[in-house]
Amino acid sequence: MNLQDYILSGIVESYVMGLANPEESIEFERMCDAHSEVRAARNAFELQLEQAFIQQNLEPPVLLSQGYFLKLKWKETKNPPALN
Amino acid sequence: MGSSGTYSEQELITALKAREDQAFSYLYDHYSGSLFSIILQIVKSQEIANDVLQEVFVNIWRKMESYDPSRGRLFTWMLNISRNASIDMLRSKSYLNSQKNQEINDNVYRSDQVTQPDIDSIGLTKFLGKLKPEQRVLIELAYMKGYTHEEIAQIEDIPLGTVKTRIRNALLQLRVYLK
Repeated sequence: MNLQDYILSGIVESYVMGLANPEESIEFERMCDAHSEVRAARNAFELQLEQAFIQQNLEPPVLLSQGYFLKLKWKETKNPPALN
Repeated sequence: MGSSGTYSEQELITALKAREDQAFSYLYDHYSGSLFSIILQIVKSQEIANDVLQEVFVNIWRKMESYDPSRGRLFTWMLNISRNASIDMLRSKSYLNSQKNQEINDNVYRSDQVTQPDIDSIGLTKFLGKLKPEQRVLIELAYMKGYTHEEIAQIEDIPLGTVKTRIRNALLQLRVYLK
């Protein structure tokens, strides 16, 4: 399989969405390290996926944003407080 | 943070790794809605999704040092943490018990139906809905329920190679709809 066929095989989408099996993931990461085209293809799909979510302006769950998270001081907290 | 009150990806990662409160607040404000949508679509309960989202942010906090930007964008990493935590929840005893109780409640009265948001019209499911039914079924099983290709081959009684090809084709099609 040549590089372009590999990129267009669905492995990029499969890896990014967490659906590649361990062997495929290791191979994909090796291909990313070896070929900037594969890295670029991964980054392009990641951006597309992210934009698809961000453009929908999904609201944070109100109850949580008013409660638990505002009370956290991340820097000072060695371990996050117990969830309740 | 940049002068416009936003972070570049790199600035955000640096600030998060330095554990700056402001960066975590920014992360929550900008991404929790997206992450919550994927969690809700997997666990299908607002209350449980709230719990999972809390767990996800704690995990993000805990794992931030080991996050490697060379392996993918921050959002992808957070999305996968959210999906994995949701699937772990699906398989937990407490979830399975809550589903049993829910079935009993549903048989008595269906009051919760009114307040449930339409989770099929938002987030990733909005795009999954455009897939052909036979493609959607496989993505639901693999992405939303976390089954391996081998398990899906058994469930659907189709060859493993076919499962793999169909899932990859479905993902390529999904990508077209994301545009």
